[in-house]
Amino acid sequence: MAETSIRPRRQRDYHLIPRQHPLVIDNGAFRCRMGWAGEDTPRVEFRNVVNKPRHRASGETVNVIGDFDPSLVKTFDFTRAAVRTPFDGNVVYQYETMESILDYGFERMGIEGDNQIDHPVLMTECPCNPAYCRGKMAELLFEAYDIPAVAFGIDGVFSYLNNRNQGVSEADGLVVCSGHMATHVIPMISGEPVMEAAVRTPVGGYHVTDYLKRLLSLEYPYHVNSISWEKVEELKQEHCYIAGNYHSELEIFQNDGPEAEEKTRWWQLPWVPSPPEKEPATEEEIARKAAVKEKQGQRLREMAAAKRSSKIADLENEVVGLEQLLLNLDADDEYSDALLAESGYLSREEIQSALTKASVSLKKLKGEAVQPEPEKVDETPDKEKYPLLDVPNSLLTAEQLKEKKRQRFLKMTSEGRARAKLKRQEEGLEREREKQLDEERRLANPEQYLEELRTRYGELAARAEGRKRKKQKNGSGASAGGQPATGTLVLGGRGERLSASQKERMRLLTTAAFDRGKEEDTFGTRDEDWQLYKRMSRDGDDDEDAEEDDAELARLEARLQEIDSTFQPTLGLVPGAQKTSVEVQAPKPLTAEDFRISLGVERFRCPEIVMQPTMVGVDQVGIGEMVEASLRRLPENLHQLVVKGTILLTGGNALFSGLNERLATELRACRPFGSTIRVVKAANPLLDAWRGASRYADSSALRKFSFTKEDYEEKGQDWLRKHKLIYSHANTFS
Amino acid sequence: MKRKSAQLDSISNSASATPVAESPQSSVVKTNNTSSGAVGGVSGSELSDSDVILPSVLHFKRSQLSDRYPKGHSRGRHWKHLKQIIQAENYLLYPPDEPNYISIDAPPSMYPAKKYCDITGFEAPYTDPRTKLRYANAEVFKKIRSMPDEFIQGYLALRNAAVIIK
Repeated sequence: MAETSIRPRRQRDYHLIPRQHPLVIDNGAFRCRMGWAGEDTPRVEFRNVVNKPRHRASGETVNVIGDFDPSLVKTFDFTRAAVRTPFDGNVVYQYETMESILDYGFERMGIEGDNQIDHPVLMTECPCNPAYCRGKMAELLFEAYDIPAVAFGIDGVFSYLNNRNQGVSEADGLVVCSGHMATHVIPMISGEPVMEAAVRTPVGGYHVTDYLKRLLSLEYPYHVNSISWEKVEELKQEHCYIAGNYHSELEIFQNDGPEAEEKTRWWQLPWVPSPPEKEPATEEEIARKAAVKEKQGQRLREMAAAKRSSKIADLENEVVGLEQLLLNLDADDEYSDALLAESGYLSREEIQSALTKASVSLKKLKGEAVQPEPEKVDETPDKEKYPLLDVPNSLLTAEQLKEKKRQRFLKMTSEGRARAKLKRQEEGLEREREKQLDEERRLANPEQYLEELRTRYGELAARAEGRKRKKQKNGSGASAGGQPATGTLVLGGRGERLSASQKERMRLLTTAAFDRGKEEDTFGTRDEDWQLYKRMSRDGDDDEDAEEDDAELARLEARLQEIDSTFQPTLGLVPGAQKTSVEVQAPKPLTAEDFRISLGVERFRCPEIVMQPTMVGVDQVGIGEMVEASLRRLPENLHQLVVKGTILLTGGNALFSGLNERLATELRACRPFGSTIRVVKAANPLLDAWRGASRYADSSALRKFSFTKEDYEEKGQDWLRKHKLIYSHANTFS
Repeated sequence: MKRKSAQLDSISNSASATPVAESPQSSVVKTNNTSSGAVGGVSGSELSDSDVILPSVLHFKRSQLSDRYPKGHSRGRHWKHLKQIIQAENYLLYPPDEPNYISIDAPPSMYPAKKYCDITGFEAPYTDPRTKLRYANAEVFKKIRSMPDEFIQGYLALRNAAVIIK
């Protein structure tokens, strides 16, 4: 099928075709073939689809009929155009699409005419085409193209007749026509199909391709964009075959031996190797980088120093100015008020405090040890400080009462402060003592101490790890599966048991939702009710506990690092510990193998759906049993006639290698012992239907059995229900 | 010698004269192929355009289907799907022995359907109760359990067993 990618050329010899010469159209669900009666090959052949891309320049949508041509992408935007087919299953239902296709086909045929096509048409249709479809097709042909007559025949039967003519098949037999959308089995008696015994399963080449495409897309989700329908169709045609014995073939692959490898095909996707890995930096490089860094640091340091010195100068100026001001104030009292007003300070005390503040910060900047501002220990007894506290309220005025309140507050806060300070001091002492004790223990028995430390650390780390995992599991529960990349395979997901606390939470939530409305709603009248929300929001584990553990863990880790040089932190709570794990996770560069799609089992698994439609959920018999089913529908006396004749395989799926042998074995298993079974492949499974039709149209039979325009106008579409070709008309086939 | 050269000539002639995609000639219709040689003279872009887009006026056409079924105000324009077509056919009104689209439908198999692993295609002795996927061995099971839901549904859809939420 190499020629399929070429768009058909317009035929230029129309003027040589006699008028009224029949047109033959094999209107298959996959490909449409058109040609003149009596010829050996169709003139025009294309995929029976319409694409409606947008013209990039003008923006208008156009109909592009037939095979997808990658060269058109330049002029047309295909991104939003869906491929339309006139078929639903194996039946034509969209007659507007069909019209576009016929337009294209007739135009390619070079047909010229004055508002009419003066050629009778013989068109193929599916077996037992519904009368409605036949009527609509006739309407389209008569009304739009004004053809003189039309006849409809079955593609598989035409193929059988053509093969009979070539001596491949006999007058009696059976045609197995596995097309694009469906597979048919039709018994043939003396050259006539027995439609009463025909059998159809809606599985065909399209489904095989679709199955393969979906399988590959699921297996290689990263390459979904490369797995186009056209490409998969090509892969199918090239690599797929029907296994002689499906189960033994599967076993070959299950054992995964050299034979399986031999049978595996690879499809290498276009792949650009990633740039070679960066070589580890040389010492010079490192030194250079360090120098650059050092230089930058130096500059920053210099800037900071300059800023500091300027600030020191400012402060010094301020201190000197303030001191001068104080001296001036001391020197003469007369002008002190004027001086104060000039300086902007309100009082001498204020100037004093500003001076101390400035000098303290100056000292700080200069790096001198600053004496912590001596806590003004108020030695004044409480009695003097808070004189009003001891006086009974009754003796005080309103003003004084207010003052008393303030004093009491001040007293309380200062007392609290003192207590806190004391406590802090005590704690510090305690810690110091503990540390000392620790150190002593270490010095007494360093080995044992280290061991203890390690076990304690291990315990805590394990606990933290467990907590982390639990949290992760809860988190990934919704997405079912989580990421296995985290190292520990997380088997969370649907149906996973909930922990006790989670269960409790769920119970609370559901009762909260459903308890309402039973009786009078009293929720919230008691204070305990509100505790419910607290319990609900608790998410399984106690976080406080975890925090404490983490702090302890970090402390232990730091201590261990301090005294044990061989220590490796497992959790990375201490910064700097994560470095190693990051290095390990550096992505592996992609290789050609990552861009390779393997076809192993798929090679025979996909075509197998024609033999076993249940594999794709179609609960109907496969080809082998179809023959049986067809025979069952046939009167007993005809069985022998059919079985002794030829079983002809035609249609696109007949191209799968191994189908003959497989069907023969399956039939032999069902038929009585010793029956002869002759399964043959059509001479050309794709073209024979058209060729048979072409021969038929070339005989006088067409005129006899076709439905003319006069019939159409007189009797109407309904009459077409009874339309039936007699295939074995006297002079049709020898 | 003479005869040989003549033969050669005829071969080369026929080779050069045979145009690109012309079909072999039949006995009935005598066609003349010389005209198609002109196609090669047309420039590439013109050729592709004229090959792809139909001319706006097709002289052989009497009417456009869209004229018969104008957009909007006709039920005829709505094309029935196969299911609706079959329903409308009313096969019950016709003699039961007359074959029709439904009667030729294949029956279900007489044998129990074989179960195959949804992932590998091997024979599958097990079914995962959680995902309902069939699997061949523990390795596949592990894979199934770590698979996102989307893929599980994708594999189920292959055999038409996916959960469809409408």
